[in-house]
Amino acid sequence: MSAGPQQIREGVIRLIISSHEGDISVSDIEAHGGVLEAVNYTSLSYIRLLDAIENEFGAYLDADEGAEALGTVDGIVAAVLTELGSDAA
Amino acid sequence: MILAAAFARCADQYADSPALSGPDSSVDHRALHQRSLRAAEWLSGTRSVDDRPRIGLAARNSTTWVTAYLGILHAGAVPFLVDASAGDGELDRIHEDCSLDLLLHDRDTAGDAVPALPGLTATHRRSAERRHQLHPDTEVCRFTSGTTGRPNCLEFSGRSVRAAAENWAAGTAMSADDRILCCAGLSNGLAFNTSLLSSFLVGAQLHLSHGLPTSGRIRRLVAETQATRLVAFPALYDSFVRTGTGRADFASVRVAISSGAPLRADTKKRFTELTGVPMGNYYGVAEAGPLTYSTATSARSLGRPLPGVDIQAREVVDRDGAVHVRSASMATRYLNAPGLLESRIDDGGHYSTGDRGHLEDGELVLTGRSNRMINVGGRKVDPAEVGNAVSAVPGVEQAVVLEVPDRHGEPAVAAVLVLREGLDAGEVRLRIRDNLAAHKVPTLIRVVDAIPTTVIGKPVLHELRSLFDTGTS
Repeated sequence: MSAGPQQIREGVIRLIISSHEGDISVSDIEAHGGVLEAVNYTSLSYIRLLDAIENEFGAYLDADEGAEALGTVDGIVAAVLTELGSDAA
Repeated sequence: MILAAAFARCADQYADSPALSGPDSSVDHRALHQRSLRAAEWLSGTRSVDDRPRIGLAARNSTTWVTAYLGILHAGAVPFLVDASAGDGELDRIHEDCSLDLLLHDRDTAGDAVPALPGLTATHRRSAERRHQLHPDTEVCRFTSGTTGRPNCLEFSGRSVRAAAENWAAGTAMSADDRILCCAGLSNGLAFNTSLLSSFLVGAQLHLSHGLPTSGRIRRLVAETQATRLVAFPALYDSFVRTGTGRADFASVRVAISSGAPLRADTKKRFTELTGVPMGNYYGVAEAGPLTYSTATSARSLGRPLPGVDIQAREVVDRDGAVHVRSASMATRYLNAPGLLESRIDDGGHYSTGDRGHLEDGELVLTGRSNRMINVGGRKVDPAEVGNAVSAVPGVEQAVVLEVPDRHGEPAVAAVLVLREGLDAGEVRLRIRDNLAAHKVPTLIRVVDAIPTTVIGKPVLHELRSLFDTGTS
């Protein structure tokens, strides 16, 4: 059975935290409205995150297309759901 | 003008052969030359207090970047190649130090910016006078992270830039059959020396990538361009290994070149196991250009010296010594730090790199660095520059910037701060973001009541580093 939107959201947040250089938490991300730049997400963190998303969900996200949308938790979750098609969405 | 003439000869020699492709377009040698001459006409109108306008170029990779670069050379002006990610404050410091007349860039701006080339905007800077005079032989300026708290501007003669390209092409057996996929920014030494002029000289095709070099993205670009050479920082190869790239994705690639930061031995081994592609290790320093190359070396070796390069290990202790180098591609001097580069070059023309290591059967092995730069994914960060930016934030009473390993084992920029009540680390980050490129902003910050110091007042670095072991915020 494929993952639903809530499971994908939880998975994306887990990968965002594990891909960061430092020790951010879910509450840090929420406190900044889910904006990754605000929790100092670097380009190396992004590369790790996009790799992890491809590995875990099989969804390839191109950071150059829709770069702005991929700057937030909501944007990344939406992009993963779109990549996975209507089953997940 | 050696470089303008070299590119013009390539346009004559290779004419209708494909020269360049990027995210914006593809172009052959003749068409690129014509475009660059048109750009030169426009740029010739740049107002300047002397006969060599200084034109900054701060943009992501594209065919327009190359057109602008060639246009500046053909106009008899001097290009100042700036990292596209430089913050506005960094650009202001560069302008202040180097007296730029014009800046070509691809960022959003208001004010007196005017469209210059497709995708590039020109902002007039207009210097009333030159703070520092250029050397008469200088044709290109590039920047290092510096060791003085601000970027150092390296002046290169045309002869030196051409020698770097010729020696790289000869030392790596680059040919007209090559299709080079370059994933590093063209202002960076890795791309500038291994891809730009060298590919033109031999008639190879250059394909430019910009944006985040993730494995998924570059796999697709390799398939699209049928690249024979890949040029990238180690972070990309780490990415390929993480996502388990296969041999079919790399069927066209003959060699993958890594530089800018140490490549992990296990990444090198695993990448070749996964793809069947040998990795070419390359060692170069901004002040001296590309120095070594090899694909057939052990994991820790950086290969043999390129043509025209002499490498010596001096003041040897337990086999390792201070690495001194001499090449045909040396910078002339730092424009904004008179005498500094000259003081690091001895009478025999050898430059003291700040690295430690030894030669093993003629191959260079580096074992450490004796200077204080932090290498973040191939980009060098000067802790003094970051410390100055952090200390300038109102409410920061003390700041120490240092390197610590992040949770993935990579070098990270860290800061220990003493803050006035009411200010927090997040606010400090926000305030410095406008003045520093993103990779220079500390990713790890600890706030303390007081910085531990030695009896002479120096920060006790091992105590500060231990703050990052505990996970304490």
